Amino acid sequence: MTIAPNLSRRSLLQGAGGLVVAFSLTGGVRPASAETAAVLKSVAEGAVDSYISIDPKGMVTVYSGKIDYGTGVRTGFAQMAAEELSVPLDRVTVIEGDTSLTPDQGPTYGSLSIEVGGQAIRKAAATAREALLDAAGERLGVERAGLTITDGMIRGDGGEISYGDLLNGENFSLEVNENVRLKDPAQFTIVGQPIIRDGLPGKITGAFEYMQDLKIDGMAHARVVRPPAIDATLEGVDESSISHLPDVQIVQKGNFLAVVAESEWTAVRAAREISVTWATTESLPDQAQLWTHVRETPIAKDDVTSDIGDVDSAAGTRQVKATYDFALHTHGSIGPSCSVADFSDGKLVSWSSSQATHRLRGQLSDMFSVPEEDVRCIYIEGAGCYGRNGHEDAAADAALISRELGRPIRVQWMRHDEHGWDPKGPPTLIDLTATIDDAGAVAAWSSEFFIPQGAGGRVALLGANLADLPTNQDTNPGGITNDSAIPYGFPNIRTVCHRLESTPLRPSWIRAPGRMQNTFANEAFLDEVAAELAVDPMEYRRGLIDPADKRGLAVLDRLKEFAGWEPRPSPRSGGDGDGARLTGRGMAYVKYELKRTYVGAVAEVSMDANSGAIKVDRFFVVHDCGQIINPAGVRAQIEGNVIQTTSRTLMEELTFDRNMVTSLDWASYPILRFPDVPEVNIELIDYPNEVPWGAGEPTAAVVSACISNAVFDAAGIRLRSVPFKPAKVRAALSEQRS
Amino acid sequence: MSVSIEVNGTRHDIDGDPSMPLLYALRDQIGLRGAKFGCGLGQCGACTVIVDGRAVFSCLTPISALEGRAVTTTEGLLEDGKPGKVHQAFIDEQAAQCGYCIAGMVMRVQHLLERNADPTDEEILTGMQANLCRCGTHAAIIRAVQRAART
Amino acid sequence: MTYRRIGLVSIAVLIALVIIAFALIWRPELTATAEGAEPAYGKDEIARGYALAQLGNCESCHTAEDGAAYAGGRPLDTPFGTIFAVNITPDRETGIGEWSPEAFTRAMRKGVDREGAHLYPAFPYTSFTKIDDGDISALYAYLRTVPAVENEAPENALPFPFNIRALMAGWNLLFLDAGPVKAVSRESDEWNTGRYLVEGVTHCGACHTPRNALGAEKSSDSLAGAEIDGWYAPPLAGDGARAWNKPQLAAYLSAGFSRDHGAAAGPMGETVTNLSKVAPADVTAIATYVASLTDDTSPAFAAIDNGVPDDLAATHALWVGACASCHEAADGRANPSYGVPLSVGFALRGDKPLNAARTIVGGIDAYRDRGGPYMPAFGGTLTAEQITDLTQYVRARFSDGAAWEGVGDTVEQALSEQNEGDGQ
Repeated sequence: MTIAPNLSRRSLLQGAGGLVVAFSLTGGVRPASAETAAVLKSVAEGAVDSYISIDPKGMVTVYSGKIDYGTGVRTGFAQMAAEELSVPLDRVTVIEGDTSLTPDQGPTYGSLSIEVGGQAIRKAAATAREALLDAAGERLGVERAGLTITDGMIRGDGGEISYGDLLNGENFSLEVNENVRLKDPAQFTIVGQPIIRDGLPGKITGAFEYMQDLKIDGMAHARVVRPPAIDATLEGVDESSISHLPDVQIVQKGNFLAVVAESEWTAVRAAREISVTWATTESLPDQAQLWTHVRETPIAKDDVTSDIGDVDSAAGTRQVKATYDFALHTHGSIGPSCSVADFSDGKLVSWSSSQATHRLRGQLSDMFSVPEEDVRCIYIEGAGCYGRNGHEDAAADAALISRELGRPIRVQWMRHDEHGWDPKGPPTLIDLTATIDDAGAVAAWSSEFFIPQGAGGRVALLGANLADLPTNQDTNPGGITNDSAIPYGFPNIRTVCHRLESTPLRPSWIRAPGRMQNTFANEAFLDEVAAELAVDPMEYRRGLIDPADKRGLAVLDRLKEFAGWEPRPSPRSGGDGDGARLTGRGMAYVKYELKRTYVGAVAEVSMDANSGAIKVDRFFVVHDCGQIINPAGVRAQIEGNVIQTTSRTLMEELTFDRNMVTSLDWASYPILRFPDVPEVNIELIDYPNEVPWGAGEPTAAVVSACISNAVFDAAGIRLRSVPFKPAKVRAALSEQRS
Repeated sequence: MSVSIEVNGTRHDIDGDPSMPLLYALRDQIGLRGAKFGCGLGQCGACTVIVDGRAVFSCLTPISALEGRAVTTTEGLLEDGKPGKVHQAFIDEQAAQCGYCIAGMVMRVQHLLERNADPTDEEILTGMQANLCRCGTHAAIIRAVQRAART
Repeated sequence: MTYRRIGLVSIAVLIALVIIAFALIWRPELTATAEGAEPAYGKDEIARGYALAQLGNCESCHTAEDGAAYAGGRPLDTPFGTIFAVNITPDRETGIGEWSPEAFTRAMRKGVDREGAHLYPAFPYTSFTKIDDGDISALYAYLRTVPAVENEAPENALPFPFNIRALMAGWNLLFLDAGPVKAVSRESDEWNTGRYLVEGVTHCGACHTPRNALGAEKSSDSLAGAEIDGWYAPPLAGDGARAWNKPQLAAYLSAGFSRDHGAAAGPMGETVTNLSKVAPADVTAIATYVASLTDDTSPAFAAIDNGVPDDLAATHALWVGACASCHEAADGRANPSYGVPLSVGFALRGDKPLNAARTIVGGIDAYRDRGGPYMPAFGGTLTAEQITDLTQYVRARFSDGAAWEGVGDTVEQALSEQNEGDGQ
């Protein structure tokens, strides 16, 4: 398998609607000019040609609207297509997220790439195979039942013909058969194998071409000069402040300001040294009063995510009540966002690491008031983004500067751009109440989530706002109501999401958006209830899961054994006698969005009861994502989820003053380093005959609750506010003493 | 101003602003992609290269400081165009998610093993702590270091 | 008077002197605690003791590099030789497991160990003597809870006559003012708390007060700034410390950073890390007291930028490429890494290049895990000559002081002490 070849060329958009692609002799696909002998490439959903093409040499190209930002789904797509087509993996090339070449399969989020994107490719490949078998049967004069396929060669009754010869450069011109016969999992030789992730060796040796590495002819380097406040007006630029730097162009449009130079370092210096006058207005709330602000923000509407029985009239003898909160987080991509744009003759080609190139095309079309067909957005893998970070904004920046200067422009965000201006995971505040009856059972569970309105739509483009160009202004925090409802069978349940009119800072989704925060509150609060009832948290959960949900129960049963879980209530009695060092264990469980991947996890922590420092020693994760396409990829995702979310849970908290974000780098927004990384033990449950679900997010949902519950087990204190910084732990310990 | 720097065994005459950090010379003038821009502040380690046996942040090392000095990047660890020892250990452990930090990690590991061929787990953890990874690939990277030390 | 008589008197005087000397020098061994007879300490008492241990930097001195906490072995270089901090874990053989509360109190107040031997004032009992009984008990209680570690600290490397511990009896006569401080009634409770902490457990003077020829803090120059471990601990009192006010001090002491003064680097980074673990009220009290030692209404030091020094024009490229991104943001934009314009800090105002050169060589990494000022170490990147030039460059450009002497030697010294790989 190879990735798309070098796209470092211009003239990718030729003529009205000239969406062209040429099959090169080597079998790869490279965008080419209209002059090249070409076939029109379908991108319509439901057409086999949108997903699959096979050249005369039998090389397969898979077109995916979903993209791989390091998660390994590109490899998964190739495995799924190769398996259905019975071709070796190295004959498959995957093209991702190119609005001229790939179908619009929606943004790459929600752990849906394999389940939705991969399954579409699989069905297209299977449809293609069936059509090829039909055609081969005709050509060879053999009944379908007498045909076999090996490595893209169809044989029967002594004859043989290859895919390439059958197609002879033609398209399939077929609709995908949604009910097509899929290969029997028992016959799988590629799916289910721990294939090394595509591109990985080059990432290690330096050969891999990231978005940040892309160079095209005639390109200049730009840096955007950010205002010192979200609400700021550009009043003046002192051009003489950078007159000592050679050949710097200043681009100003409204409040949008950028510097452009032939040399990248000159652009960096110019952005740093240019003197600008801004008028600023304080537009953010006082962070010290953040949770009051959230609670008092007007509610636009209520989303009731579950309503069973009547929580208000449930009879109970006591109540457990608690409030949970989860700080604002930044994506923290290690490589700041980057984009190259070539805007000429009213047509725009935009290269970026957007996880939603089709949506970005629409946004850029709006921003510049040009038809969508005159905008081509091409995905190139960049640094991991874990959600909607600054990629689209960098694309807008580059496009705007390119349009103003009429030449290709590369915009590389600086660290303070990424930390300061990418959209943020919004603050989340959650109230929970459990009513316990006189028999010691929960009669009612009710929860209220204070979270911004909106879903996973188009996040307003920063550059458009600064330049006063059109861009939608609604808030889009992602599908953050997910997992506010619970997978447990209480007689009365009501879970309500109060959708707030606004939230401080432009929101978007970061890995497991909402699911992480909501599962933290639900699973930690359930632990509180279990502690109140003095029961083992694992067995308690087991008794609350629908007995018909065998897979959920299997996860807990396997977890109990895998983690060596001895049933007992939390907290543990007595310390381990080693001074102030306390140890504990905690568990949490999620059925992602109540309808897909199951995860059960146990955290073991040690903590210093004096300093309040928490060390997560190890995690045990049992994971069921149905049919496993690539176990190495799934393991890597689980491990990354645990470690990244441990960082988010223990350390991460965005800071801001009344003007703007103040945590503008890693010194002010520290993340987990090597010495504090937990050991991660993973057990995968494979159901080859079930639908493949995603693994990119679900494990992240349980990590915070596992740690909170383990700290409770160790010290008897309940941490309800992420991040669990030592000062908060010390305060909880102090409160416990008094 | 022109500065003569040896990069992966080849001498390069770098022209330009003497304040330009080595990172930009490597990426924009010599055409090596391994060292990455991550922060420009010496905070994350994505730009880590080895200069005369020391791991340095190339984003904060002006070319004017490097006259006559020898730089090694991840590309310089290739052996006859094939992955070197540390590379292969990373590949075998599939120790990259997005991989943007990895070329810097590789150089940090190279530096670590050059001065301590058989590091303890503790020494690996502290030796690697200058470099950040956001994907949570740390555990795989640690396994890769252990593997590289064994081979 | 006959010779004989003189002789008898002399003998009598001599005997008397020996007795007096013996009384002065000799300290009884105190009974060892019974094994396994550990009383239960209150959680509040332990918590207070833990806070006092942080305020007192106990762990920093009593823990060797990569060693177990409080197990001793860390060397302290003094003008008289090298003294190794002892093991203060509850290990009975090598630690202070056999020490009773009385023995511990005597050590803290009088500088005498359980067996009756005099301690050297590298252990700052001249300050700890001012800690009140309750706090000494709390500290004792806390130290009983740290894990016992068997570790014998190395023998001190002190030449004659400093290796005679008994000499400390005379030293104590001269310099030990035993007993707690008395509150000053006209000052606020917060001020008095701050003074109690500063003069006692935090022993700020141990670094910030210059010492006399016998190694005692000069009471006449209390907190006036002093050289220590190759660094210069800036003045906390008097004009040299002016323009520090209470909020700035509180921020600096708890977060290691004041926008108006810069970052706490070097040994102070460790102190701030310890202070970050105590109740904010204690840190505020310290800030209140220290702020009162100067005229905090006097104007701040003016920002200085003399421009690129003519004789160091080539070094300007180093500044632009390595330093300016954090120290020279344009008009009001935030500096990354908590960098500040260099003229605000003390490092460039001092008479010696110690702090400036050492910070360039070793960077600042005390705050990595919790967030705070950061600077990469340039000792592994730039040559000694380049760092020397850079040190002179920042002195010339961002201060009004004369060019420093001996920068090269200071840089070489700092480089020689740097662990390979530090910072980067």
